Amino acid sequence: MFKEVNHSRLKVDGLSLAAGKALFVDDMDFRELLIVKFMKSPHAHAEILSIDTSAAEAFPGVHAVIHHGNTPRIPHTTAGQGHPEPSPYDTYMFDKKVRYVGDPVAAVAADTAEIALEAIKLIKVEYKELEAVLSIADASKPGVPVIHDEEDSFGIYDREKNLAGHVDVKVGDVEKALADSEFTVEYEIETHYSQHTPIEPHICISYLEEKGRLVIRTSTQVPFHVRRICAKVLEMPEKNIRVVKPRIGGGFGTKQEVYLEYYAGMITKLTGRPAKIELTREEEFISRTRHPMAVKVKLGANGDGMLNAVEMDVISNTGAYGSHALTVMFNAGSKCLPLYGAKNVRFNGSTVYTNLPVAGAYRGYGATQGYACLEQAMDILAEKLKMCPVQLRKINHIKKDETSPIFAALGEGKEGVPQFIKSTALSEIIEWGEEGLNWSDTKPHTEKTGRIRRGKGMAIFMQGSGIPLVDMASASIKINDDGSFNLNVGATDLGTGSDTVLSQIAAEALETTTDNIIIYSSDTDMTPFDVGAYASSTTYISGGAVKVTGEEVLKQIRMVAADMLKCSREEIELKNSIATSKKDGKTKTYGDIAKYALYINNQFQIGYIGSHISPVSPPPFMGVFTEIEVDTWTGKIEIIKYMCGVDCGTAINPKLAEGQVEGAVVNGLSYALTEGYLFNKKGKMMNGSFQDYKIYNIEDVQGLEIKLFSTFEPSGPFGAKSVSEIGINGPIPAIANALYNAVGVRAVRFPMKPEYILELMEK
Amino acid sequence: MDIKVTINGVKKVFNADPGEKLLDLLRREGYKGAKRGCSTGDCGSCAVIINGKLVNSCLIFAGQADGHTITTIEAIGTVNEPHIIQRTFVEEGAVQCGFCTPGMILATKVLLDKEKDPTLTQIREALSGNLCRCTGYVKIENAVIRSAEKMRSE
Amino acid sequence: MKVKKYFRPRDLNEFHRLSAENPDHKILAGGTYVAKMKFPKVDTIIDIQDLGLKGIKEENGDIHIGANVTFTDLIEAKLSYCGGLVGQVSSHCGPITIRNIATIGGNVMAGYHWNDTTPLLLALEATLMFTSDSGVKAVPVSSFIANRSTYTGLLLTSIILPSKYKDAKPFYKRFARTRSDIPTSIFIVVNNEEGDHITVGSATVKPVRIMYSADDEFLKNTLLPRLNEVKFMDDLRGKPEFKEKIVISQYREWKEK
Repeated sequence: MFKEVNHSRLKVDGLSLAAGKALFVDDMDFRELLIVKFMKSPHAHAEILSIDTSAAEAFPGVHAVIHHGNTPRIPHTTAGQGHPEPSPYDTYMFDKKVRYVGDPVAAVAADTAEIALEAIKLIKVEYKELEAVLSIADASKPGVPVIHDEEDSFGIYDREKNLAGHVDVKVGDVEKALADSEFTVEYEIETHYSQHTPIEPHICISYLEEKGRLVIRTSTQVPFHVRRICAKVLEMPEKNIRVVKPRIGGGFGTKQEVYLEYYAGMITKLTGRPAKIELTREEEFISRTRHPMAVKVKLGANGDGMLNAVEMDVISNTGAYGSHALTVMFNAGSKCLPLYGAKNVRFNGSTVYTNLPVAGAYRGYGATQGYACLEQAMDILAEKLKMCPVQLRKINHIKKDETSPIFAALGEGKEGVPQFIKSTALSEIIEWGEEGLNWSDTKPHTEKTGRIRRGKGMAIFMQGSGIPLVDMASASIKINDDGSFNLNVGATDLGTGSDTVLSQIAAEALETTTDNIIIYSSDTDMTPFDVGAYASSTTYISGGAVKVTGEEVLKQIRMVAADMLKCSREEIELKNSIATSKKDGKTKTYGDIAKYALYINNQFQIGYIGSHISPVSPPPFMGVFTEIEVDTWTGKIEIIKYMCGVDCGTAINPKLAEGQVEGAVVNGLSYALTEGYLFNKKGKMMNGSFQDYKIYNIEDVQGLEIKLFSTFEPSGPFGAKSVSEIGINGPIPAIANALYNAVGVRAVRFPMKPEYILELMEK
Repeated sequence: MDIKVTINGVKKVFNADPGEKLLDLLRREGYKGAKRGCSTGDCGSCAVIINGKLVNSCLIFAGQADGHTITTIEAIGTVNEPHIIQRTFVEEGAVQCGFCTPGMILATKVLLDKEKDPTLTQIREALSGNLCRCTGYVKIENAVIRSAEKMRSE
Repeated sequence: MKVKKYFRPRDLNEFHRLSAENPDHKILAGGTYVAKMKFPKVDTIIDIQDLGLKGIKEENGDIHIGANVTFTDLIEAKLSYCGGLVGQVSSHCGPITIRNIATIGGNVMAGYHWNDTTPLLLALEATLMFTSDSGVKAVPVSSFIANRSTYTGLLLTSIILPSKYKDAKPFYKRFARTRSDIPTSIFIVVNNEEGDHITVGSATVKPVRIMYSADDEFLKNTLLPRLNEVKFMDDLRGKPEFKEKIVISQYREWKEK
């Protein structure tokens, strides 16, 4: 039915990447480039009593030293969210106080990295150490030190209690419903710190272009937010800043942060020279992380298994600064609770500050943490009900044309919007998994013996597609002499393939082929606005913008063609870059039409800038069915089979969509089983390298079976919904359920490493 | 100090600091396809082929490469004339952000130069030093299998 | 501090001369350990790749391995010695990009990271051949492990594996979080005319070699107490108690075979 979308067209930048030719931030040379390195706090919580940078400044090869004493003090958030950001303004370029081990104290710009690092050793800082808050449990205890006691920050919910954000939303009467339920479950877990580890660490280069404007070339997911936030922090008008995103080496949320670019900009402003900041891998681990969360779920059901009540309590740890503090916590509720149709729902969430690394956006964005608890609680409920866990999901999950009061009650740091499910393949996915894993043969753990025990687990999920009524994207299309098109989008391809997907959508809308589209993206001078790549929004929201733009351009092509072929617009048929008059069968190519419009008669540029927002955020759905082996002697878990079915509507590019799911699943498996932070007693992260923080390599992946289930989402471009985040939610709850089925223990701490599993089994 | 190498088929002499890593030298000299992901030899983005073996260029000093033969991604194929492996990686969806891709392709090249019909174990072993956070490796594995098939039928 | 000088001596005489002239030097074998250090705190690097320490050869049943032989070389040599144990252990020493440059000599001398090597050599009662300007010295690996500091600054030239394990049928288990991770525990059993010898190691510098006795209390009275010598670290790969449990599982697995 579709000619360009729903086909696995080759990635438009694929060959240049495969040839090593595509330009990433660091792949262009700049003369007189300064290297910027940070002096970082050795303390988790301390006041800076004095700082003396004179020796560093005098060190040969040093060109600038910046710190709280010589930079503007502008409260802001580093969360690259839409204006006004729903995150507290609690961050400064530099402050007189440091709040985690690694907090920037000063930055040195020098001719080489070695010189900068040597100069940093010469900076004398006198600290007054303060008591540090190093856990969720300690953050709000009476008498604990206040982490954000500065006077000029704002948007903090309750600074005395170290509360960055809080929400309590009730639908119906949960307490009564729980009390009335025949079966109840209460289950609590705590998820762990982890990092996105894009293979390209954060990097940016700033320089002055020929007219003296500041250009920031940066590995970002949010170029327009970078411009806005840098303008604020650098006290410059936005018109004097241009942000360019070249190819970027992965993001997964960590590059939805704006917290390096303004330091580079400051150095360039001061010295007039290009300045580069490139994080080391070790620094990357304390750049931005996933919010660890304590999640408690209460469920109430009657004997038939229908859920009466769902309550979720969340305490999220945002670390030293409140980046995405409120919204990630909200999402634990807003992306999990609508999955089940209980009438009585409560979500009580808090986000606390600690003196630990700063959290931020990370693929899954709170839903990952919420599902880690909810989907285990559902299994516990099934056991109490003596019901098959698959059956319990089947009777309770949200179905087509149904809604949930949570959609309206919980949004992105504020109320949400009501919506009905218009596309879902969740029922088919569940049946596929049930059959593929021979679910009916599942035996309880009590019947299992021997050293190696197998277990099966399953779980279901939903996410969203963009932030309704908030996320806006736009696109511009113009025709060229030969009938090709320039497509300029603010949307940000962080490796996901959005340049390709958006080109396909344009081609489909323009009745041409994808190779006729020349895409350019993410440059604040050259491309129209887009909020950026986050919240699973690009295909759905930016795709919507490209589609309307293409349709408007097509109208202009039709008009010109009608003029050329001397017939009415209705008599023009457009197909494969050719306009045909139904009257006499005469044809004009898009090239003819372009030249006519540009050179011959009633000349004008065929082109349009279109924008798109969505009143809804249709969820993609996922079902995971896994079988694992647990070695009862060592506690080691091996994945035998991991089946993951995803409904992302119409996949615009099925191969790239599968790749999104596969990448998210493997990221999630590694998060569930091996990735974790080790802190010393003073709050310092101790395992900041790939040697000590294990992410999966190719040899660790086994048993994956990923399948896309096609549906048609009426609100999406050509039926599409989002796909990039949902996959990461699966591994923790599905494996934890399989673990229980294998050996009868429940994981409440993560990762599920052998040592912990042995401890659980010995209890 | 002088570093004499045969790089991508051309004899060249580079000047290097005694403590300089090969990756820094290569990138300085314009071989930008070798990427910096960790500087500790754990991610493989900086991999190059030295005397037929895949090596992390961040993990050796420039002086270690003196006298040897180096192949970087720039010599494998170009955008207009890609190598079968490069084309197949794109066709199979094995390229996402592309930052690890040059290393992955070089790892594949070394493998397929030696083994025309590699087993799955051999493929996984050959690519074990290259981390990818985007793809989950599924499509990369497929791309290696397909590349081998295509190269056999050439 | 920066590395100021980089040498690649062509023969041992030149090596000895350069070592003497540059007391603040570091010997570079494959380099995976030295290059990993952010700023190697040495003035001079002496790269030994041209010293010809590359061969693997058999002499009267003994295996002579040059110190600069890489793990990949050891795998590709497909030694039948001791049931192929050397290649098998080498295949776990990091991912392929590391194995292609990391050398057995460098790994023994650094005594760190993918430390499957030292337990292997201890299990096989290897002899380390050191050279200095005063001559050649043959050192049993057990003495080297017991007193590493004595040998710093000496050049390890080759490693000799004795013929007595030529036809041994080894048992080898390693436990790690992922396939190419640094091991939590390594467990090797080889047999000779005296019986079975168990070697246990970890990512520590001190593996331990224990003679097995078929006594019911061997685990409790002999193996576990001697594990103290390994000095398991409390690190992100687990607490010492956990590592002990892994050793017990490896022991049980061997016993069942």
